[in-house]
Amino acid sequence: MNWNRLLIRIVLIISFVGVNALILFGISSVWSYLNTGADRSSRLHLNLEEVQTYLPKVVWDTSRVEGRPIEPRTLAKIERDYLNGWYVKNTALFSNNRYGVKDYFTDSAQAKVSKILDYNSSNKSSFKQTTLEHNPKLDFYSADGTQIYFTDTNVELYQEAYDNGVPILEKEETTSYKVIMLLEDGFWRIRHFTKAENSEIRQKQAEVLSDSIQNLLKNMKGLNYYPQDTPWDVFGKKYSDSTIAKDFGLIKNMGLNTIRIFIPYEDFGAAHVDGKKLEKVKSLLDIAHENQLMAVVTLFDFYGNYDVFDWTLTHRHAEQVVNALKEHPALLAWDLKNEPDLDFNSRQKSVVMAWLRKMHEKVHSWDPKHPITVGWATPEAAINLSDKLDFISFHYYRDISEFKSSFDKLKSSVTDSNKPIVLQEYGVSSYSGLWNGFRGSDEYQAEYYKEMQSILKEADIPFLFWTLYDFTQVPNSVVGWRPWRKQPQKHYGCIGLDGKPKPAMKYLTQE
Amino acid sequence: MGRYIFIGLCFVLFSCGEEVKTPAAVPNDLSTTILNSTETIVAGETVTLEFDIRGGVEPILILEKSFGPLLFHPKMNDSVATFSIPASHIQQSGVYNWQLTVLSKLLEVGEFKVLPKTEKTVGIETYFGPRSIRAGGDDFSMLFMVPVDIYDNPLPDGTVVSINKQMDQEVKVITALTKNGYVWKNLFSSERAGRMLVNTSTNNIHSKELTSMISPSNSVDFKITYNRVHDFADGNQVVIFKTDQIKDRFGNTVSDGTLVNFSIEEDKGTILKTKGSTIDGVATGRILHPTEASDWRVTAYITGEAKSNDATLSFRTAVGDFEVQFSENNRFVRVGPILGFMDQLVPDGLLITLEVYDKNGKFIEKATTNSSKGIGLFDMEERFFPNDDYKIKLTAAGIQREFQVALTSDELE
Repeated sequence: MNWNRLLIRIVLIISFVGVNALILFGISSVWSYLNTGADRSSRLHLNLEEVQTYLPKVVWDTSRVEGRPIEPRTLAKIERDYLNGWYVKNTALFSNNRYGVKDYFTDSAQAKVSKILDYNSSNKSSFKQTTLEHNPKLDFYSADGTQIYFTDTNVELYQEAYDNGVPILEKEETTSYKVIMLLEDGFWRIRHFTKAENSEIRQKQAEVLSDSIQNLLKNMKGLNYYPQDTPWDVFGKKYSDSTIAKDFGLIKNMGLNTIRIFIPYEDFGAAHVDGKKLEKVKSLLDIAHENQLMAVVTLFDFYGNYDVFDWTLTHRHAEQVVNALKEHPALLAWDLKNEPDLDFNSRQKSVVMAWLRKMHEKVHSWDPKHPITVGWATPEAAINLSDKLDFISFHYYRDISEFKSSFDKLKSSVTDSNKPIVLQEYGVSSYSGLWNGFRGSDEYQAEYYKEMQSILKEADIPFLFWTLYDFTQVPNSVVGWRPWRKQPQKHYGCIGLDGKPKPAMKYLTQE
Repeated sequence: MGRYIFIGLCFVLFSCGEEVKTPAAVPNDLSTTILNSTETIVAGETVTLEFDIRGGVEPILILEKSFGPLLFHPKMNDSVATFSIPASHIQQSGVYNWQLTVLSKLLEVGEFKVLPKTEKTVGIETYFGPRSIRAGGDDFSMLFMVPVDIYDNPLPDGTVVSINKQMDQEVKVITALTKNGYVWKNLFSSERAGRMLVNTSTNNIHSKELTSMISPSNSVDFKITYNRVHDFADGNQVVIFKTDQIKDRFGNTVSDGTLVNFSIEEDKGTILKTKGSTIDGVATGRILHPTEASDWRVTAYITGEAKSNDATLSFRTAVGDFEVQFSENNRFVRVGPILGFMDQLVPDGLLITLEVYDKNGKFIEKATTNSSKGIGLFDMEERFFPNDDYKIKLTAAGIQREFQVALTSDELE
């Protein structure tokens, strides 16, 4: 009886509190909903920042414009709206959703785009495409500044077609378009857009590597370089010429001739490369040159999105880095990407390979003089693109006993037997602790290098070992947060945390 | 036991797993022959592409049009794959590229060209601007035209477009040929202000009428006259300045509302200004008579374009000498009655100035008042002017009178 009353009381009180909480929650959600967008500064969209998501290379030819000369500001605005038009169309073709099409196509042009989207939508097909290069030749700009005509020649288009979500074809094409655009409510909109025959087809010339570069590649002896205090962040705030000079002096005294350095993608400003960081790279290369060291520059470190919609941004990044460094005498080669094969599962092999193929083509067009490679994580993966790359690079962290057979297998599968094959990363950690059952030691590491160096010497394999120093800090982005992966990563150096050479140094120093 | 099996089965049935898509292998005996293709057609026709595919696979066709790609599945008849592309997808002119693919393998590529349907021209897009230009033959409106067919395709190069231009009561016909789908012409103004009417036609299709306003060119120098009731400087009447009909160099009357600035230079160097805007080429400016005798030189300007002749006019003083009475120990000054040019009391509001100097001639104070019924009053209170000898100057309508007065206080108080 008493229990029942108590129970009823409890239920009543709890439901009362609950109902009140619900009412308060309801009122507050209505209140906050009504207040969204009421912020005065956001009401007029005055502080919207333009984010550039589509940056194909555009080269205008305005040498012969009829009607009226074009002002550079107007041209920039036309270019922006034209590219935005491409961008919204590309995203629309992928999602079959018309978002944004209205802003960059006039009503009648929109109808034509919609027709394609409707058909593809009903057909469950979609297309992922991006343009990489535009060469518009401006022919006409009207006196009142509201109509233009241009021929966009040699538009480089890359496209992946999907049927019901299944990729069916990836292709590249080079086409030309006749474009009439109109200025309507502040937007330059595409009015007529007609595909035309491509008049000129440019030939890509293949260049053969000079003997001197071949020799440099074949005699590569060196290491992957990070300073002891700033691993994975060489060009950050703590960058110091004196540290680099000291380290490079050391590397030179070890009898080595090559270093491999890394350019992080996001850290360098992605599509808009930070000039200050490039200056630091140049300064590092200057010091390398003073010490008779050559550098393999690895692009796109910490980059993992190979999506077609991201291509133009990565191309602009690489273009700026390559053009800034390509004349440097200490530059030996470009490494397009470190261990891209590790992304094959998460990003699909075909996507990664397409990105690499295009990037190779682009870097080669900006700098035809320097050899290009990709730092594959395993000798098995290194067969990818082996016909295109100027030399082959692979990493090896597995058991020594299998090394020679893996290498021989790779060598035999490469068609051009003259192509240098570089062991671009290898080494072993001297870490001894809880996470590896106290198995490692400095002597173990020395033994590894003793054996490894004799194999490399015998087979005459160019090498870059990992690495000069032991590190106190390893960022999570390198090997993750798990201590059994992170702790060993700190002890791959041939110089310990105390700055003294470890026993392995003996075997890594060249006569 | 059965229950455990059931739970186990549920686990198996509802467990997550990555769907593994293994692409089917491309058959070794795959071969393709193009049976039927197209090279050039007219917009709105159907296209049929036929291929003989050996290997027992069904290919897919990707058709790349100007605005984007389309994907087609074939009708298979034994080994013959037929792609019939409906006319609704062949409405846009331009180059169409196609690719035939099987299991990510590119089998055949080709292209065909779709021409605009010239015989079904339905309109001419016309853009005309700027819509307001100036007379004289140097300025122009630009006409930009895109003749289109029924599917909104620009007509092929070399399409003849004729332009009718009505100006100065005559119609001129100009013909032009399209290039890259469009054609443009600069239509120049004549020497006469007015309107330019334009329309275009091609293949018996006519555009709407377009208009451009031709406004008169820059004005040329002009003349001004003035008009006033009398030449007395009474500060009460208004002088009216008037231009003659202002024209441009081709004889067009300037547009209504053209601003004319009248600049008046007085003989003492002061500049007075008034302005007026034109109606039918004539602008009027008004200004009050001066209050004292002066000589004026008047010039009118249309800023940046034209100026007038100089008009000179002089004003006589409107007031004769006036009486001054001192009372209440000389502390109260009564000026007037001031009489006008025909002995009338001057209109109310005539400025009278009183200047006070000490006996050494040092300026102390200035006071002003306006006449009322011909009379102006000043009160020099003791608080401001202690008992002493003063020199007083009174000025009205440019006439000045001087007095030496002794200001005293009332001894009795």
